[in-house]
Amino acid sequence: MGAIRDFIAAAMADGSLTDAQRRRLIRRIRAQQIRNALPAMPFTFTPGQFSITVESASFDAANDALTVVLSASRAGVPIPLDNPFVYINPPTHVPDPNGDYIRTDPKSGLVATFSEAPLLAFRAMVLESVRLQAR
Amino acid sequence: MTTTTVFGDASDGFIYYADASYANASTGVGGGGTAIDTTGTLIYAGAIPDVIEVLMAFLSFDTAGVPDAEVVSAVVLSLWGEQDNYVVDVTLEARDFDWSSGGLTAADWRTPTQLSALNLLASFPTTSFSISAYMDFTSQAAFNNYINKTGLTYFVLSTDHHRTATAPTSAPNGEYGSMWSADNTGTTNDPKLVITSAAAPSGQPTGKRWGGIPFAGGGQPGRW
Repeated sequence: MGAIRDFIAAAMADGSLTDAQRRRLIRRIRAQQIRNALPAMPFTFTPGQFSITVESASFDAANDALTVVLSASRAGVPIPLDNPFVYINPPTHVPDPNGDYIRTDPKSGLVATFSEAPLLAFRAMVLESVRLQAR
Repeated sequence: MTTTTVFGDASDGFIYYADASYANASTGVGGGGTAIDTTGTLIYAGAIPDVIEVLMAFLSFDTAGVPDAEVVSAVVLSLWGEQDNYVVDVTLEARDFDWSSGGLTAADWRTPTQLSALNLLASFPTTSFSISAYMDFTSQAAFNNYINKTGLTYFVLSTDHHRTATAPTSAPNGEYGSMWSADNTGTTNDPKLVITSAAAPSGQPTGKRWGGIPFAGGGQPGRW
């Protein structure tokens, strides 16, 4: 099991927490663990025709969220962005046919596999944010 | 300006009713079976014609982190499809419905009449259904005021055919699909809500208003 899944499983199993406390703790784990997985900033990645630079990223303890400042361009043309970007309950897993996290849907029987990959999940999440604002 | 992306809460799920009669299944009478699922991988919306099974999804997002002092100017609901069985295309509709009391139960099923009485927040035509990218719903202005900045925001997701009690035609003309539900670990296919907000101009109210859509919790008049 991945480290993040271990933390979340422990939160799920903690009978002393209320539902609201558990929800908040999971939210915190996800935001913190993603922040911990990020390289030194600023850093840039280039999905497709986008170039996205993560100028800063910080864990917001008051809201248990991840706050990110981005700049981006598409085919060399800067994209105006509504910074900062705040992520609540950010994803930590990505679809992966070889992943060890298996989710089975009881109705359809679908078996889906995921890998714990906070940096890849972060990139996908940020790309989505840029894609929406570049429309 | 702040752009807040909230990924779905894992309490989401779906309910289905199956019956030989569409009128029964759509109103929550399941002689052929029923289920309430909040633990599966997928959520469903639509109708399966051969067994006459009507499906409805229930979504929730922890929107308490949206800055309370800011005014919401835009909201986009996005879902990632898993299976497209909309042989007959319909429109997916997200409506304001707080199903939080006691978690998801059979009492949360909405009949066509009840759906019609709820406010439409966002919609998406299944002609554009995607299993390879997020589907961005088209929002109504009412969506901005519906965001609960002090807790969770709840929706029901169904189809326009369900709301209008339009029975599916014969098999195999399905009009249903599945979308990824939220997971506690968080995956990049989870439902998400993107909320744009900004500080209110001086003297401007920042919360819900009388006459607007009330809070997600309970139908009480909102606050200034």
